[in-house]
Parts: sequence; structure tokens; C-alpha cells
Amino acid sequence: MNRPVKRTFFWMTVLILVCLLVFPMYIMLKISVSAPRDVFTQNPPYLVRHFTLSHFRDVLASGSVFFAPLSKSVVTALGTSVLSLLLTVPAAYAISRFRYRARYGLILVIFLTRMIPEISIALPVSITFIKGGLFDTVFGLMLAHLVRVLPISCFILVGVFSSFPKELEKQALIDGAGRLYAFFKIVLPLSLRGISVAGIFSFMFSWDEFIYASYLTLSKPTMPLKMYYYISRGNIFSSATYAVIITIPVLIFTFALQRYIRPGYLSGAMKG
Amino acid sequence: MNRLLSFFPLLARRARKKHFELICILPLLIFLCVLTVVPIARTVLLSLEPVEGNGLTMSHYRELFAQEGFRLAMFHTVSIAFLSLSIEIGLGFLFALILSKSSRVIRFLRPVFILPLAIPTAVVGVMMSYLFSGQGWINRILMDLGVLNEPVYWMSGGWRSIVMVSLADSWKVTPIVMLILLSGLQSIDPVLYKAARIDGAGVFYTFRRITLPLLVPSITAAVIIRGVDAFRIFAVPLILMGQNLKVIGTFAYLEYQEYNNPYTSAASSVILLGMILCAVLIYLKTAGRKGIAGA
Repeated sequence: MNRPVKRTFFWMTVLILVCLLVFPMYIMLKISVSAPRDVFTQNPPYLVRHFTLSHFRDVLASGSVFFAPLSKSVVTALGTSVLSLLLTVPAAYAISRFRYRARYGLILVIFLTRMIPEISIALPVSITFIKGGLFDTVFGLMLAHLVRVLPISCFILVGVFSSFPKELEKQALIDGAGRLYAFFKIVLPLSLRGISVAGIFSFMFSWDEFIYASYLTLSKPTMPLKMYYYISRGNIFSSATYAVIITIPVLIFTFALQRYIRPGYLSGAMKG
Repeated sequence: MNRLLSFFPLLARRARKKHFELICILPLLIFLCVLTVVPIARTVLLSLEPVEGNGLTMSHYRELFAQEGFRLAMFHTVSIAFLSLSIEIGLGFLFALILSKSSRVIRFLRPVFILPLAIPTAVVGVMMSYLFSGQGWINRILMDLGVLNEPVYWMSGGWRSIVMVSLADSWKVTPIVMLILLSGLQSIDPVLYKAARIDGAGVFYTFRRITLPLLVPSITAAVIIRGVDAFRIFAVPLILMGQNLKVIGTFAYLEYQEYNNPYTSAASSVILLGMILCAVLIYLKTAGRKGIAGA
């Protein structure tokens, strides 16, 4: 094969892949802004022919049907990320100060919790919560979401604290500062960026969570559950609109954090 | 605490030196213990508990294996895991090779390649239902292109639905595989390629003798991380197929939520946990042996 042929072949592949990646999202967006006659026909058009915002207006006008799940999702996600930071910031700091073998072992143990199928945690947790009165509450859901969020937050933070210059901290200790003082006055303020990245990831992983939410809610659904409700009712426009609304914040965060999304965080925590 | 520890002098000395770290890390470990180890133990116990009376029983497991639905769910889980993992590794490798090219257009397109990661799994289910339904867009496009004469009913169950769920899942998670493999590709020393070129090695020879062997650790990481998730697949099959094509995850869920039977639900999730552990062990063993043979 000569060069030009090779190059066209390469760019054709890239083009096809990009289309495959974008097309499903395009269809979802298109349905959420199309008039029903664009969708319920034998051959729906590829482009939006009759643009409408009425589906969004309907969803927003449905009042507490929409705003209750929204606020539950937002409150749960915010609470989950705050709680996860409270638990993982000190722990990750400690892990990053251990020697290699202890650090590696602890990270592995925390990673192993990701291997457990969520359904086998969700079932007993939901039974306990029904007995303990935490079922169908925001706090109960936060606790369950933490199981999913903590390992990820911990990985990111171990990476953050491992790359913190140890000399700075040592200097403070030599100058007579206590461990706590050094941690709060030196390590924490200088690691705020990394910590906020961990917080945002925690938010995202709680925001779109589906399994624990479906085991632990009955009358007060979160956004993904509300969307599932519309799917099972066959309401194509509401489900598409909800899907778009759920996706928007995650999409914005992902783009903002693009350069942090790399498995290097994992290996960074392991090697360090 | 200190007095207790002083029975073990070495441990006590270590603990005293590290007490700050221990206090930092304990809350996390206790929390993880309470919300993972305890629930797992409870699930196992629940799966062995008789509906009435005391003692332990295997009857829930016997009941499960007697059900054709459960045997099918096991088969579906394994075949979807294999199929989606193969698609993801293959495509992820292709993506990674493309993105490792240093070109301005490629750099510009990078966000597009990781975009699906940002789509919530439940939303992926919704999108895919628009694509794969009988009147959906896949059929539409394939018919417009003249590949198909009549629509394929992806949601009618059987192997078609297995393929559909695998494709839908792969769409979402191929970027993760790509990222893992890409970081592996980028850590290969470019000097090796240069040396190979100077020695007159062809593209395929270089790929087979340099790229592939040096990527083995990344591939192993990708297979394990993704393989575990492939077995745990839940939201996509639930939204796309519901009762019509169950994997163990959705089987356990429906067993509890629809049929109100926590015992069989617990038993099936214990089986799923066992399957995951087996798969990881088998893979580590075979891949480990291959690694030794290659060295």
C-alpha cells in the first residue's frame, strides 16, 4: 500500500468511529427536541425537521414530579461527595505516607471492594435499612453510594498526596509543627485542586447511580429512576428529555476534568 | 488500646509510631467493612437460610438450578461478558492506536473518543433502545445502505439480544479500555521503535515483537477491570430487555423486587460473586503462565 491510500484508509476509520460514537447521543438529543410527527413515522428523518422545546417545557412544568427527584439527586450527590471527602482525605493521606508494601496492600484491599457485585451488597443493605428506618431516605442512599464512590475518591487522592513534595511537610515538622498542624496548614491548602477533582468525581458517580437507588427507594425516586419509570411506561419523549437533563452536568464535568480522566491515577497510586 | 497493644511489643512499637496514620485510615476501613464485608456475609447467610425454621439449607440453590430461567441467565451473563470483553479489547486497542498518533486533528478529536464515558449507564440503555428497537435506527441505516432487506428484531431475545446488549455495553466502556491501553502504549520507549526501524523490521513485525509483548500488563489490567464489570452488568440489560433477557444481575433484582423472594435473590448474587472470583483467578493463572513462557 502506498502512502496516500494508507492515509485515506486511516482517516476513513477515524471518521466511521467518530460517527459511531456520536450518533447515539445525537439521536437522544434529537428525540428530545423533535415534534412527535418526526418520531412516530415509518421513516423518521435523519435531521430535526420540526424543532420544539415543548418536551422540556412539559417536564419543567410538571412541578414536583420533576423537582423532587432532581433535588433528591442533587442533595444525595452533594452529601455523598462531602462524606466521601471526609472519609478519604485523611485515609488517602495516611496511605500515601506508608511504605511501598503497606500502601500497595491497602490500595489492593480497597480495590477488591469494586469486584463485589453491587446487587449482593444492595440486597442485605436494603433489608437492614427497611428495619432501621433508613429505607427511602436521602441519608440511607448516601451511605450506599459511598460504597461505590469511596474507592475511586481514594485512588485519586492517594495520587494527589503521593505527588505532594515531602520536603515541605518535613520542613514544617522540623520547625516544630505537629502532624495535624502540618496537615491542615500545609498539605491541605496546597492539595485543594486535587481534592476538588476527587469531590467532583464523587458527585458524578453518585448522580448517575442506578442499582443502589433502585433497591433503596420506593416513593421518592432519583433522576435515573424517574427516567426508568418513563421508559417502562413507554413515554419516549419524557425519557429522552430526562436522559438529556441527567447527562448535561456529567458531560460538563467530564469536559472540565478531561485531563484528569486517565488510568494513570490508578498506577500513580500503585507506583508512587 | 495502648495497654492492649503492649502485649505485642513489636506491633505496639509500630502502632505508636504510626498512630496518626492509623487514626486517619480507620474510619474508611471501618466504613468499608460495615458496608461491604458485613452485607456480603449477610447475603451468604440469607442464601442458606430456610424460609421457615432454623438451620442452614441448600434448597434455594437447588431451586435456582432447577429453574430454566436461571440457567439461561447464567448462560447470558457469561456469553455477554465474553462477547463484550472481546469487542471492547479489540476496539479499545484500535482507539488507542489511533489516539497515540501525534496529529493535531487527533488531539482535537480526543474528547469525542472519551465522551461515552460521561454518559450515565442508565442513559446508555435509553439511547440504545432508540437504536435497536424494531423501528430503530440501526435497522433504518442498514436498510438505507442496502445491507438488510428486512428489519432485524434485536429485542426478540436469544443471540440477537445477547449481541445487542454486548454492543450497547461496549459503546459505553470501550473508552476505559482505550485509556488503559493508551497509557501502556505511551510508556513504551520510542527508542525501541527506532532501533527496530533501523534494523529493517516491518510494521507488523514491530507490532508483534515490540508493541504487543510490552502491552501485556496493560491488557491484563484492562481485562480484569472490565471483565469484573462485564459480569456485573445490570442497568443496560434491565432497561433494554427487562424480563425478556435476564442476566444474573437483573435476575437477582427481579427475583427480589417482582417476586419478593430475597432468598433466591441472595443465592443468585452469591453465585455471581463466585463466578467473578473464578473468572479472575482463571485469567490470572493463564495470563501469568503465558507471561512466564514469554519471558
